[in-house]
Amino acid sequence: MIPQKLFLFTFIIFLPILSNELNAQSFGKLRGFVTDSTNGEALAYGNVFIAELNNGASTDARGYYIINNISAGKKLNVVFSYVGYRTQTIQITIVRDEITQLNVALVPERLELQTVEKIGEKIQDKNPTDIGLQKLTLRQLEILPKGVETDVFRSLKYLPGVQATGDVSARYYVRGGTGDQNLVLLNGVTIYNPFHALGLFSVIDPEMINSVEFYKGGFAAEYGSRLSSVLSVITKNGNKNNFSLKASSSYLTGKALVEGPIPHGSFMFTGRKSYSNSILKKFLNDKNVPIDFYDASFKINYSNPDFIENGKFSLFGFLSGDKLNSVNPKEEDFDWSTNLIGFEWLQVHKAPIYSKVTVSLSQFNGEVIPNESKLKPRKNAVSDFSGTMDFTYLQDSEDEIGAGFHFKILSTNLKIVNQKGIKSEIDSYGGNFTLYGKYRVLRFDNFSADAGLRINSGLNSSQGFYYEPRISMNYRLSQDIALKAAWGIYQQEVVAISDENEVISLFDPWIIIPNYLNTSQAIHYIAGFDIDVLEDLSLKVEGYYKRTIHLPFINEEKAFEFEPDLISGRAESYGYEISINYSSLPVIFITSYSLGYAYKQLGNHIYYPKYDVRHSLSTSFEYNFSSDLSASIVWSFSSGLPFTRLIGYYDKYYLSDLYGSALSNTYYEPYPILGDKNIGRLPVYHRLDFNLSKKFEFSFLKFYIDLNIINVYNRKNIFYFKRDTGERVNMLPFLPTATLKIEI
Amino acid sequence: MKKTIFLLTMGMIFWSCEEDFNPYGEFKEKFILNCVLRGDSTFQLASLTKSYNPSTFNPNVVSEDASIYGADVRVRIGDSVYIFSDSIVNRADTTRYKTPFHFYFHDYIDLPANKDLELEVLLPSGQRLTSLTKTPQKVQFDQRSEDVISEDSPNFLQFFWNISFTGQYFAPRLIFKYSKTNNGSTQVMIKEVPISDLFEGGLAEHTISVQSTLNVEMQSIRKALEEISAGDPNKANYTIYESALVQVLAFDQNLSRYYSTTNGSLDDLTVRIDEKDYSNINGGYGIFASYIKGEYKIKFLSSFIQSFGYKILISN
Repeated sequence: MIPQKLFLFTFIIFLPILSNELNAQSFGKLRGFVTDSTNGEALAYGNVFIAELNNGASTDARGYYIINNISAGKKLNVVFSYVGYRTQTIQITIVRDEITQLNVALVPERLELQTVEKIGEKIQDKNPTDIGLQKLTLRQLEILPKGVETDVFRSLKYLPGVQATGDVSARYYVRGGTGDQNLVLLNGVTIYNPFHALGLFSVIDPEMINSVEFYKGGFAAEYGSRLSSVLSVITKNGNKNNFSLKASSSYLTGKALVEGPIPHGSFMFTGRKSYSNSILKKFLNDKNVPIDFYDASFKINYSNPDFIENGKFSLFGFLSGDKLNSVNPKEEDFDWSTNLIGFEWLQVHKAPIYSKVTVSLSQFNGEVIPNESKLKPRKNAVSDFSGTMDFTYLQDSEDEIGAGFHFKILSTNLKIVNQKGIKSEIDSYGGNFTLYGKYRVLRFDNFSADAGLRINSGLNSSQGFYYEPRISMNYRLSQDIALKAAWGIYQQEVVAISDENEVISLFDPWIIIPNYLNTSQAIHYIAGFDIDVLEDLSLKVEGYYKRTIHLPFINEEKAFEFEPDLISGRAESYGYEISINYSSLPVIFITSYSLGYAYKQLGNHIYYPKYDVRHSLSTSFEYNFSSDLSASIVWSFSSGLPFTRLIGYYDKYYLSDLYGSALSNTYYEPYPILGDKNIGRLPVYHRLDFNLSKKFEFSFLKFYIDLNIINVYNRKNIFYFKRDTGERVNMLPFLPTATLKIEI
Repeated sequence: MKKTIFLLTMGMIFWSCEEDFNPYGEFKEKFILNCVLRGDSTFQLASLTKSYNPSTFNPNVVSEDASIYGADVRVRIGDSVYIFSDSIVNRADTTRYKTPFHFYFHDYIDLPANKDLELEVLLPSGQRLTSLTKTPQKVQFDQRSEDVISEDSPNFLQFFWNISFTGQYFAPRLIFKYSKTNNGSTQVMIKEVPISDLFEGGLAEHTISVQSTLNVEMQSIRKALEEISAGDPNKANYTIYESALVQVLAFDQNLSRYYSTTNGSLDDLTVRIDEKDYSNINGGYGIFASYIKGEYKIKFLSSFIQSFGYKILISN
């Protein structure tokens, strides 16, 4: 019990205001976890609804819910529902001034999807302060057509406001921000290089995913250290009831998942390994790339009420490695690895407090090994040791208080030998702590707000403290119409040095922003509205404006060692997004459109960054023939990406044979003369993808077959144009793929 | 009906649509002037061309020489003005251009150290290209530099010199002179000692770097000495001149910057779409720059040379 007291003590230190809230209550509370009955996995974003009170809540990413202000002494029917699961109604009587714990395990619906009840879905959307937030489950990811296999990053590109510079790479850009402004969290721990194979795929094996939250902006005070977006992936806990083995194979990888119960807990282990490079040729202009990659993750959970009541401990880890070993010694090799390990303690306290403590170590290492090639060696190492303590307290008024303390000890090391043979080593080391507090107003039927402040001591102590105030609001005009708005200031102290002139990049090292530059800062302004047009049809509109200052740019003018590698610039982006969602099983239809403008400014020069997409449209249609058979098609369209026009060539002089005669030192090669940067536009992009998923059982085995066709009508979308040879390189061609998964 | 649907589907799959794409903006003629003045020679050269717009997307197919004839090219150094003449010479490589290489030259400009240089070109069309640069300071070797090559020399011979500015590039080399007597005739030749481990096809590759030091392995010197008589048992036919030379070409600021921005190389997989260019020509592209040469003598010890079976020519 001592640790619980420690939590309470710390929480009281943070927020003395709470003491007033622990007074006598006139109502009771209901809380608990909603899980899958077959394996005990948390059901994220499910609905809990009390019909008699027309009140309810949705579960969070860990399946946790809490409902306040429930009349005590009455018999109430609590309805638990989740798409794809049989709705369960439980009759309870709430005891005055007490918190009733009710954990529910829902049974998956096997036969008729149409019978899935949707009670409570309106409640889920009642007053969330969730502007810019997109919640995804594994099922939603799996139903989308895949390039080779399910990939969470590639699926994000179907969302409005998420841009890419082509369908070859899994890298993504959110609302006009650069790629390194996207925070990727695995169980709350930062992954610095979340890509395999030159950025073609993400390192996150979908088999390990339980839920995904993706903030396109306006995220609350508990998140920091990035300017644009947050992708938070929560992994599965593992089957608490039975041992299970899943194995699957695609054209690219073989993978397996093992899970099962342990005393007072469960475990989960996933592993994935590439075994064929032939499919990669389709991504890389028929180039043979000997990439070999793997990733593995594990999670062990322990929850013993005799040890700590309502507490859960998790130990999790993730390993990922990529090697590109050339057969030819005249060619370079590459080596990347991302490893993390973390420990998490979730605690539901006797008071309506929910707390989470994590300690983690996340590392990234990337290396270019030149062998006998003319490349120079490069090496980047990142080590991030972090700890977090987060508390959420629900007041009687239904308002919520959140607070937390985060610390980070970060070191980055970059060793470069540049083309002139100059060795340089950039060693950065810093530690910071962050305090945040936020207050969520949830007491009103038609209004909610989330106001918070994040105070960061800064990795670079010379720049002082950073203050990041944030607010998000929701006002419901009527039952079916909600207005939303958010504003916030965001800081980023660690950046990847990416050359924006590279469409495929092998080495994007991370460094702490050097002392001679200020820390990057962005301000988000977001506003929008949600309309439930019909019971099954909703419309969502969001507009945004984002301004970034002190944005680091690679110093392209650098010619001498003493000149800075990075210089400071600005960025600006704005636009709006419209989503229409029709969901009436067996049909799900989603279409989204976004209009965006993005600019970068360096000195007096303003230009469109390479990911500035003016118009984009994505339409998906999913039909569930039964719970075992479903099909979907997705059509994506976007207006052309910026490119720099050629306005001619000239014969460029290269120094050669300096000790020879003047006339022997005349080596020239064609060199492009470029117009204004990114003023041209590539042709429009469009593509139709198709997916068919079939599940069947044979004896004790379950089979899942996925058939996909990427680029059904073989549209030749241009990727880039080789200026030295004039060759046009296109994106993914017509590409049928299949995946087979077997579950025991 | 089923057949029609099947055929339509198949047709859709194998129908590929491609939108025409023209990467070119409006072509604007640009002028390119390259003039790197050398401190190791009085013969100076400049080239003047214009940009071109290939009819296909491949610039290598353009074979029409883009040289500009009839321009007035002049270099000013202090109060002296040097006016260039133009000429042509046959190209060694005619795979692309079949016509001779056209250039402007001046056959006597003795380049001083640490002097402002001014270039002015008046094109036949009346347009003017100008540029400024400044020659680097004289190269002076440090006392720490080795002065003798002998059997007792350390494994590495080191040579040091001054720099004119931070980031200055140098192209150093070590050479020695020797003569070979054959049937009564004597032929004098120069041998360059490989100064780094960068060998391409057995030849020494000049290392251009910002290092103001040169390290030469004794092993490389021995190897170079052996190579001059490789396969010839009559070692006594070879005479080595007593003084070897360390030569250093010191780049000026503009040439250093130009070299720095043109000498990058990428791996085979990274795809870079836009390259940054550097030029100091007002009104056009190209480079106006200079380099000067410094020399340092180092002596072979007689016994060292004789250990190879060679003679040594002692200078007075």
